[in-house]
Amino acid sequence: MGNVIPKLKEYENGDEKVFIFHQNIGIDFGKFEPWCADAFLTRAGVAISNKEADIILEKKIWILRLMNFL
Amino acid sequence: MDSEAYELSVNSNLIRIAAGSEQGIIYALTTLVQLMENGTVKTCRVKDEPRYSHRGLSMDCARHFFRADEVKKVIEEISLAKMNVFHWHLTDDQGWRIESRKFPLLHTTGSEYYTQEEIKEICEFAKIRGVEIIPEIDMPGHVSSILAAYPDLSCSHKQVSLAKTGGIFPVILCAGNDKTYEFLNELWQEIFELFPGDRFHTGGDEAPKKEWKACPCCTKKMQDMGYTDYEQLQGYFASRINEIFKANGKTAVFWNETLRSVSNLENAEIQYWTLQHRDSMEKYADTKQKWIYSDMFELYFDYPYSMTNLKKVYETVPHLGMRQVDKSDGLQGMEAAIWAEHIQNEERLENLLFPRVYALAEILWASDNDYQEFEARLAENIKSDLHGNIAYTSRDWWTPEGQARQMEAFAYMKSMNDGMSEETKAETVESTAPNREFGEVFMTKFFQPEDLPILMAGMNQKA
Repeated sequence: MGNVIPKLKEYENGDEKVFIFHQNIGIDFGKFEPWCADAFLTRAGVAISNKEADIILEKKIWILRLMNFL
Repeated sequence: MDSEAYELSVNSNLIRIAAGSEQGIIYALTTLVQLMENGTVKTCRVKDEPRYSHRGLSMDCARHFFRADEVKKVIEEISLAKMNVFHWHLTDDQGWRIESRKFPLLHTTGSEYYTQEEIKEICEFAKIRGVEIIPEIDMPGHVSSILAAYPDLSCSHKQVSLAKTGGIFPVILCAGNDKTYEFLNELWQEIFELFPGDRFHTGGDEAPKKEWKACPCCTKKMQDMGYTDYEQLQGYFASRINEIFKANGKTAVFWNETLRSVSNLENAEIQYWTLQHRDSMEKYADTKQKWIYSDMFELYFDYPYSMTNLKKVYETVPHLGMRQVDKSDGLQGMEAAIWAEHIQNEERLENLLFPRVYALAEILWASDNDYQEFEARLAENIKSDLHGNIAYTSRDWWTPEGQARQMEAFAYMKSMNDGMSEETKAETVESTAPNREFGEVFMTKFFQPEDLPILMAGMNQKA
């Protein structure tokens, strides 16, 4: 169920393939300026649908930094 | 979809996230980061939502001042565990930690403090990680730092010093003087403007009544109100504070002792920490009003692992005495607390918090939990670079056993009163007045049967 804490409620494995971040974005993470975060998520192939509100830019920047760890 | 729920699907070309609100999106992105391995994520589908709405950590920055960067580090780490409340204990007998532009003597007398700019920055930092900050200004007791700056707010008007040790001190705000409430109204207005949330903690715990009993103002208020017990005066005080909150559209949170004197604080929430006065807490739960579970025997992380080990935290089931409680009793969730009287540095703070915070986070989020499975997963997860900067306790001490456990636990117990004056020790015992049930639970929750002869011998030696 993924090496995740806290445990996920429902997790289903897919078809053994992987989503590759670097291949999808093709740009070094370190080169992003904060205002580029929107472009990052789009180019990384992350689609977000939110029935109530758009996510504010800063949230994406935060997650961008975490992804940069890996 | 509930506001914190989300769905995440990963295929080789696209990652799709759907959520009930921004909060759900934050959790989806957090899961995504945790699922990443070397820049890849295995294709999968996730449907996820929390078990409880209140998933918190309370941190005491009054007894020991922690740098703003350390506060942020802890907030980031709890957000990675999908916790959503940081209860920030900012004032106490030992210090006042908020820059006040209306009453600057508070922070200039109260030693180190967070500037208003730092506080705003921390609030914004927490907000973008989906964490609500609940600041606590403790009153009417635990107020040496207020009275050191403004002694006229006490009954005696005597000069008070900041406390240098832990314990309960016989100082209290005068509840019979209207000027106290005028001051507090002004003070809370400033606090309401500084912090963006709707909930604010106003304490209400461990308030010794000695000064009230000797105070002409408080005695007159007792007579005017027809009270026969000074606890009722604390109820009056709590109601006056709650009025300030209501008038400003804010929600007050009180520690559960407040229920001794007042059973209905409209729109307020209760935080349960002590089984002393449990009857009033049980009656409150019967009304199904909102409350939070922070039982000191399970969720006070200032106690070392030898007294509250990881397994005990993970196996916490909210209860009031023998009665198990859940959402149908008004329970919103759980909150761990860490008090800093005996914490001297950031490394020790992190050591005590982690990984116990992860254990609590998991039982607040997920159901059908299995400790062995969790411990194995945690041992892998904690090695991730995501937690690389945290000084967490190593696995061999998650559930200490044998003589090493006993030694740490006994040493901690011995150190609890370190530096306390005899007067403070006496006041602490008198104010808490531990009943028989408290004593029994203390022994059984923190110690094992083989410890008792050693503990008893120690106590007899002291006597």
